[in-house]
Amino acid sequence: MNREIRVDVDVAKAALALSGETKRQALLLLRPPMWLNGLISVLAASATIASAQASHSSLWTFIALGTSAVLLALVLGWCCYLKLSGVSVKSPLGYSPKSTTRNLALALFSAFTVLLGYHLTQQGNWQFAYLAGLLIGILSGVGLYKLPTGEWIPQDRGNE
Amino acid sequence: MSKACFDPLIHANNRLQICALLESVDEMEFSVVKAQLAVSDSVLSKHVKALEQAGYIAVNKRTSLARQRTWLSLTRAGEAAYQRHVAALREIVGF
Repeated sequence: MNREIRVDVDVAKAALALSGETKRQALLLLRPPMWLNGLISVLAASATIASAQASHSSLWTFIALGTSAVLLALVLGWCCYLKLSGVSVKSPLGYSPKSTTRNLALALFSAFTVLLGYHLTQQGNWQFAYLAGLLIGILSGVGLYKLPTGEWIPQDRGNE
Repeated sequence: MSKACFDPLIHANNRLQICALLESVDEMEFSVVKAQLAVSDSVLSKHVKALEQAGYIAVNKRTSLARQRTWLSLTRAGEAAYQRHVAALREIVGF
């Protein structure tokens, strides 16, 4: 039963490359298409700008709520599409400790940016609403393109 | 971090690819795994059975939209074994 397999460096390298490339393929399946990525990023930026300028019942509040709802619907829609296509996504905290930490750090940094943008805008510095929006838009776009699960998608080779 | 341990069962190319594919997702449908690996139904079934018998993957058949679909997922034991195997390969390579 205890079969002995001799693995030399070249075989191990080939196996690692194969595993890395396959993992990359799996991550690419989870990456949203560019048009959806762009739409989600623009909506995230708009929601940040609108929420930073929102006050009680202004038009900005309505825009912030509307864009946030559409944003949520698009993300859920993408997850449903993946499920119908035969790929079920893990929860953002269900990945490896490294990816989970990265997801949490990204979420905390985004929340901090939104709150800081809101706070500074409410103090009269309206430019910060747009700065926070731009930052969130870029973060969302790069995050969805390169880190759809919290794991960095390597360029074309395996992740070794 | 799990210790490195070479696993002959996972080392076969197709089985290594199955584990690598399933590690990043919660579940993946049999047909998607088949398309990614570019193998036939029978070849994939054989490898899936071997991994299932070792307790490395779970196979669930569910009906959705009037169609039976077979979902594959990596078990905790399978995920740990795959990570230990990759760690062992890295040790051999010298990373």
